Amino acid sequence: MKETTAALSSAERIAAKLGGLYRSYGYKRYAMSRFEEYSLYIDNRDFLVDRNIITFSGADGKLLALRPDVTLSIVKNTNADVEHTEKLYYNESVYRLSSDNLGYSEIHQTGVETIGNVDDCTMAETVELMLESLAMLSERFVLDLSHGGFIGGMVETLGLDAQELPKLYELLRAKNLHEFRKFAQVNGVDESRAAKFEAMLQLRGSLSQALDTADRIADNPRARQAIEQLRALNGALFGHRAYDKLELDFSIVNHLDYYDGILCNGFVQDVPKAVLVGGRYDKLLTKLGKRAQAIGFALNADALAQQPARKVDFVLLYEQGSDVRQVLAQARKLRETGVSVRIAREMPNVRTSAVLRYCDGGVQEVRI
Amino acid sequence: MISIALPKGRLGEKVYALLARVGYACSEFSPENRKLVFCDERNGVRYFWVKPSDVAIYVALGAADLGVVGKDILTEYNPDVYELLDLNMGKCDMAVAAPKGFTDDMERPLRVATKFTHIARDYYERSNREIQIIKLNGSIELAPILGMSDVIVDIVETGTTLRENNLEVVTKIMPISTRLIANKVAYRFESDRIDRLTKRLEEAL
Repeated sequence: MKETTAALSSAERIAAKLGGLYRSYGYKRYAMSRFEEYSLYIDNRDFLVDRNIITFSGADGKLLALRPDVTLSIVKNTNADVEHTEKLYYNESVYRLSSDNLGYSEIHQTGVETIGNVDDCTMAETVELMLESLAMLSERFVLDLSHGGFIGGMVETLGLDAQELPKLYELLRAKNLHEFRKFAQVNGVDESRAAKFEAMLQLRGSLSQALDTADRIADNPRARQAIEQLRALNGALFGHRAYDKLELDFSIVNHLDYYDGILCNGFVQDVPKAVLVGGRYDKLLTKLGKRAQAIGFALNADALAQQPARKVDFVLLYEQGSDVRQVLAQARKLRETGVSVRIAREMPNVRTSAVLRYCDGGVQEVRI
Repeated sequence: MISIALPKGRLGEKVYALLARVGYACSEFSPENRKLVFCDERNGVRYFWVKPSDVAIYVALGAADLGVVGKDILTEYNPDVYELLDLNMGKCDMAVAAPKGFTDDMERPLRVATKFTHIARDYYERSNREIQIIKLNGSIELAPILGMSDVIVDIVETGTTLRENNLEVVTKIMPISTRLIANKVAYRFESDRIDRLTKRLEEAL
């Protein structure tokens, strides 16, 4: 119980820090009710990360839901349109049933949405905010960019039946090259087309370098247009202090029915899944009858709060009077094998896989 | 350092032998003793012995960077991981089997005994056949013998167990083999090392 409170308070601390960042960019806090009519989610089920929704009957017999997602509520309630852009941030809980239906969880989410007119400058600012948010949370992070239009364009070139697409996206999401080859063969995909798709599936690297590869394989108008957008974004962010954290990876495939432009996933070392998810979702606005464009992202503050203390592969203990040069040399030797090593007089409070002790010019393992 | 979750048993040992051959040997390694974690700083690798059906969980939750797991488990649980390589080991089929001479009575739901409830449900949904799933954890072949189920959905390797129990394969659902999987976050921070290991394995196969 004590641990839960600690995790929650640290989630709140993270949210407060991020709120300050978003206010400094002029974003307005958006607060909302915990309940929504269930029909909102049923009509847009595919937009939700998790389809398990907690429902209950309201006093008038209407079926209500505990909000499983914030973006849908904001989009439904906003008055923004292409002439009146709104820049909003939120700090709210969302509620989801666990996949085995054995309980529900409350997840603390902080996020940013721009709804109205989304031009190149707004897109670049949103990605900059993603970088700034992640940099606040960890030194070791990566922000992966993908593009719904690029993926959609490349998929079009394969000339597949619509019923084969879910399987294809599954293979792309899993970077499953060996099964894609079989899939392409079974479905009679042209060899040169399949080779280009394979290159996309395997592509991963720094934004500027990977963009050159993507440029070479994009031979469809939709994919070309996506490359232009990504190039503009690359140019706008070049020189940002966290520019080197931007990578291109098309295995990020969110629901392309909603996300038709850039897609982003942010990762922090030692948190086993994406802590930031976002992108451009103009199609959702169209679906809800709004005349506006939109881009945004959400951070899962709970996942970050549960981040374990920084992991060190080895702790190397030494005693007072040990030969300093020797201790440093031993630690260096270990690091050369690609592991991280912390030297200490007494066991520090860190997660480690092995504790070693320096003695008589050598190193002995104490425990694993 | 790369952490690898290996399935306990013969298959895990075979995969370890292959990894050792391509430069990921572990001096402490021994399948005989009861130690669960083996570490080799020189080769920058750490191995865990894990129950085969749990490998994907260890990888998806980031406790291991890589894992070695059957396609049956990947299809059944659909974990959010990268599938990097088909190791072409542990080859078998996911199949529907029934007592010899079985004919499907379409007037009532088909009773299906299986460990793989998602695979079974998925398979019969495709043909719109109404079924009743009986989830078992082992000795699946016993269910139709005792009349508890009409058919089973299970892994068939050589078919000996089926033959000895007077059962036969009715339909093959999908071929199964062992795959190398990676945690998606680990892959982002250790992609060079993971790609190197994958490439070496691929060349050795």
